[in-house]
Formats: sequence, structure tokens, C-alpha cells
Amino acid sequence: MQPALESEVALAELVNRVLDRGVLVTGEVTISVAGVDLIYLGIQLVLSSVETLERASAGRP
Amino acid sequence: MGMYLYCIVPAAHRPSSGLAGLDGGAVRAVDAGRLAAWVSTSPARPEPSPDSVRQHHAVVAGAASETITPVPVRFGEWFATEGSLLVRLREREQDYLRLLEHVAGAAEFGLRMLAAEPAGEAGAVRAAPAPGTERPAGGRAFMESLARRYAVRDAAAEQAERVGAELRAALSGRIRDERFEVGVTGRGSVNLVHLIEHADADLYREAVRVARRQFEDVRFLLSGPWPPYSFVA
Repeated sequence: MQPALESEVALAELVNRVLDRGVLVTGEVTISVAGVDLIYLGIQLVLSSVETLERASAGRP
Repeated sequence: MGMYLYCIVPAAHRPSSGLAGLDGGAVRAVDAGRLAAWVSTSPARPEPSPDSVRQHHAVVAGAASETITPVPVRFGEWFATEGSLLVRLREREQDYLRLLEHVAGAAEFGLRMLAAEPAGEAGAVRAAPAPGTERPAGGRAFMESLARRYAVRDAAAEQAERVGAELRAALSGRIRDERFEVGVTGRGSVNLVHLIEHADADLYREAVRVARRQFEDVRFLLSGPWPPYSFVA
């Protein structure tokens, strides 16, 4: 995989984990920016990275 | 001044000197019975961004050692006072101790898979819009579109189950825990997440390499080792 694609995928995997995983201590964390639920955004990033993976894989010899 | 929480570790496990968290804040440990919380001073709940997510993760990763695996805390856990943090930790002390024991000496690996394209359906499936954005011409078209999406999802899940079974057989009991998530892409996407002891990481990677050759029509994305974000939620 090209370094730029690898970096994009790594960030998407990281965002998905840090925003949407991990233990909840207060049970009250709500993360949003400008009305956009960032947990949802994180998931979308990962889905986007899957499509990136697909493009990268399709280019493999 | 408030404090931002990164992870929970066994008491007396201390951050290395110079470990920096969000906005460069010094990370320190707050003891609570048999637990310690790694925190840094923060005047308010931070806004998420790629940089702040990376900073959060760097502290969690910095808490990991060969024998100690931190319980990662989700981004955004901010407390107005140290007292309010201590109350929360004491309330769930037994849960956190159980989680620390479950993940000790292990790391998370993620195996994201894209299923093979169903014969004759690739164009239709690839063109399927994301859930909630579909605008089919009529009721029948909508039901057909929905049926295709479910068929792709189910096929991807079955394929991933087979990959998971192969890995479990190859690793004979070395997978401590497993999570399985089916995505909602037009192309079936499944995320298989495993909790693996540090000593078995190379064996795990090798088992994935073998599976990659065995399931040639499945595309794999292996990531890790990660702190066990998926096994404490």
C-alpha cells in the first residue's frame, strides 16, 4: 500500500477506536462538532478507508 | 482546574517523565484504591481533531508494557475536579479491575475484510447508495435494493466467519477474546477484532498471512497492535 493511503487508513482506524471505543467513565460523553456526531463521522471515515483499501488492492500486481 | 482522563492502570503504574498529553500537558497518575488514572490538566473538555485523537492515543499507548495493558478511556472524558473523577473510579473499581485482568499482557489486532463481489451483482451492489440516501423509483425497486444489500452483508459475514474459524483453528486457543462487526457498505465489510498476547503476536500475523493466501477472493486489512479499545467498551 502506498504511504499516503497507509496513513489515511491508519488515521481512520485510530479515529474509529479512540472516538467510538474505550471504556466510558462518566457515561455522559457527547462528542460533536457543528451538529455532526463525530462517532458517526469516525465510522464513516473507516468505511471510507475500506473503499480506499479496495482501490489500493485493485492496483496490486 | 479540570482534568482530562486517558486510561486506567493498576495503582503505582506511573507515566514516564516527560510524557505529554493533549496540548502538551504533562501526564500524571491519580491513585484511587487499587487503580490509577492517567490524566493531564485541562481547563475544559477538549474538541476532537486528528491531532487531539493522536495525542490521546499516544498516552494510552505509552501506558502499555509487557505485563501491564491499560484500560483505554474513550476520547472526551473530562472532569471538573479530581474529586469527581475519584468518585467515578470508586463506583466502578471492580469492573475496571476485572478489565485490567482480562487485557493484561495482550494487545488488540483488527482484521478488516472486504468480501468477494457476488457474480453478476458487482455493478448493482457497487452502485447501491449508502443507507438512508436511497431514492429508488418505486416500492419494488426499493425492496430489491434492500435485498441486495442484505445479501451482500450476509455473504460477507459468512465469509468472515470462515476466516475467523480458520484463525481460531490455526492458533489453537491463543485468541483470548474476539469481536465481530458487520459494516454497512454497499460492498460487504466485516471487522474481526482479536485480543492476542504479546508473545503470540508473530504467530497471529503468520496465521493471517496463511489465511490471506487461503481466501484469495477476500481483501484483508490487518492493523495493530492496538491498546484494547474494542474489549473494554
